[in-house]
Amino acid sequence: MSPTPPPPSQDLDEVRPLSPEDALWVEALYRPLTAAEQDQLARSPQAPGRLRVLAAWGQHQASTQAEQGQAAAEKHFAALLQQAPVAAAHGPAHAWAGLRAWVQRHVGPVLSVVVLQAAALLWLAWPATWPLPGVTEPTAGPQWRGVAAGCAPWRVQWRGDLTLAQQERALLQLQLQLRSGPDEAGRYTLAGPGTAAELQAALGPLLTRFEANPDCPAPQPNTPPAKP
Amino acid sequence: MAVADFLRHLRSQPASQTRFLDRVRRDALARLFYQHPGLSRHAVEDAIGLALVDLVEGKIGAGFVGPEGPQTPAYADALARYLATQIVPRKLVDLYRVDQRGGPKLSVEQLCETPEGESWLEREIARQGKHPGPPALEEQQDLRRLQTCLEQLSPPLRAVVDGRLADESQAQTAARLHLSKVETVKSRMFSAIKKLQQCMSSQAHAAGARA
Repeated sequence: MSPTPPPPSQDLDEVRPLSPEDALWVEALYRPLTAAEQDQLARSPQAPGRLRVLAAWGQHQASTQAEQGQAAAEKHFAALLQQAPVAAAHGPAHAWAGLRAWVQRHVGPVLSVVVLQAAALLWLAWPATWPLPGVTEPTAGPQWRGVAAGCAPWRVQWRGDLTLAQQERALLQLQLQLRSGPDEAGRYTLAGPGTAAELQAALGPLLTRFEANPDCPAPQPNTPPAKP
Repeated sequence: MAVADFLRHLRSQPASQTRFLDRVRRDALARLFYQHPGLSRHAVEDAIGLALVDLVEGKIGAGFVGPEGPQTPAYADALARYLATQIVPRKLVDLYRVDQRGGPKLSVEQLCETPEGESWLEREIARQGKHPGPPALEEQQDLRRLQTCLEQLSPPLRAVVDGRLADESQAQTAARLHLSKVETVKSRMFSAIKKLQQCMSSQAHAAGARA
């Protein structure tokens, strides 16, 4: 009597390598396809049925995201609109005046002109919508952060290879405020909402050091919006 | 100036705020995911957020001319459509420009060329003539069929699919499921696609037979 063969441990599909076309059907759910890749799939004998799967998948993603993210988005949009009158009333001139005052306090009235010109050049040279690597990653937390806090609860040291524009962009994207620095150790203090873990997740790739500022108590968690 | 008036109006009208935001998000999400089902959900949400931040901060919209006054629903709808079809896709292209999400960079032309037009999926599905009824109704039916068929996948396939729906990469799914090879994730996802195709097709035939 021959022994019963053991059941296969894996689905046969799992051990069979995918053809380039089959792999492309999978890729279509993981990344945007190029126009050439789209054409290739459209010519596939399987196209009629599978394109409908892809289209329904896209619809499913859109409707799920629309439902799950709406409450958080509403909250942040309302907060954003409430912050806006200050910026809208004063415009860029107000922002530059604030920056100039800050530089004058920390660098000196004569040097401040040079520093501001350099900052302006860097700013102009940096594409307005260029995202900073790391900051828009899923772990970076939401873009929408209201600025709060009376002092600067965080102390950070930027990575040495970051430009001023990159630092500035990270602060803008996370709506953090630079309060002072650099000190003799090259550290800056920052103000903004969010827990240490959130900020560390968002800024971590850009920093060599992140710590609580002992001169300022850390803010309480402000129920950050959950991403779906 | 009209956009500033509109934003002032939104500030004082929470219901209008919600309606405007909902319109922007739904339009943008539907348009983008129909064009590229494999987009990152986080990236799309970030792109919407960035577009709205730019609008509120006055960086965009200065030249926008609405069909009616800034306090009317028609103005809100037109501005929402402008954001969803022109600004959000550009923000998304910027987010993908750094190429850290894998795959090719997105093309503005592909995402923005036809504000009222169709995606490549819509175009191909229509061209291949497999939709027996009005496209919008069939799309809605396909969505329902997919949602039903997702429930019928085996647990290993469902685990991979759920990972992707939660924006996981193949490597992240492999790690979560303790799979030693990313190829196993690919194979399971391909099996899932085949099973979804069969299931949706049989449901469509059943619906046709009943009709």
